[in-house]
Amino acid sequence: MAFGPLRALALDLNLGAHGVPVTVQPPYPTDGAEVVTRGIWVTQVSDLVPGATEFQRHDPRRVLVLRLGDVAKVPRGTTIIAPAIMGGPNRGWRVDGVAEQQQDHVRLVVVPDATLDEVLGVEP
Amino acid sequence: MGSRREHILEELRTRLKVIRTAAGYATDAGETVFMGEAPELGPDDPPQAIAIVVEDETPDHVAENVHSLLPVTIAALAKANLEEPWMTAEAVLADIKRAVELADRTLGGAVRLRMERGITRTMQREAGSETVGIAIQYRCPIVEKWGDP
Repeated sequence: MAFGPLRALALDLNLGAHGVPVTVQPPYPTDGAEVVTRGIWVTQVSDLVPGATEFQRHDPRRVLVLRLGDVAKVPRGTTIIAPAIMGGPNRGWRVDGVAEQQQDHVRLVVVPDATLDEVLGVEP
Repeated sequence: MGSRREHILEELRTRLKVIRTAAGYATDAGETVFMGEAPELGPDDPPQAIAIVVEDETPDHVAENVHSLLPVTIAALAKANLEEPWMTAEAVLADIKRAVELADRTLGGAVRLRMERGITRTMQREAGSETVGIAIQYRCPIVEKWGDP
């Protein structure tokens, strides 16, 4: 029995139910077309940073899941516009790394992009 | 009447607390200075903070006078500029040096001869984090009469 279609259906349902609208813009010079899709914020991990020191802070690491079929490439520096919570105002984010990549989706580590927030008129 | 250690730590805290942009420094790292504790800060705490970490004092001569070395590490955290995170760390580090390394290297007479600079470390920004850190150690030689700290 092939689980591929079932897996794709589960991802579709999750993106529909738990996803937020997302606009993805690859960075210059990779450029490429802007992609409008949906993404899911997964549970925030609060890491103690920086490592190897006595004085640290909890920095929430935000992870956004995107379907790989929707976006061809999401290199570091890709900008993303998406609300931080479902139904909230749009915020600017920047891809800072990849937490995990599966065959059909990627978990992106993102950081708030203050410059993009300014463009969007979002209060810091 | 405070001990030499108290004078040293109090003087370091006083010097660090002046690190404010309003006073001509590049950062506001001196706005929050912790001493005797290194709390785990959260997203709602100040973006920049300093902790004075007192390390183990090592006596190297014990007689009527006790000669020892008191290492104190100044650790700082700051919210990085994502374009150039290293510049944020370097700015905080430079501010700490400017504030601490004044002409009086005895910290008001509590340090024997002069305090010296020890190891400096910078902690780079990690993926998904906006924080950078620095740590700079100062070594303070002290002489105490036995029973007269």
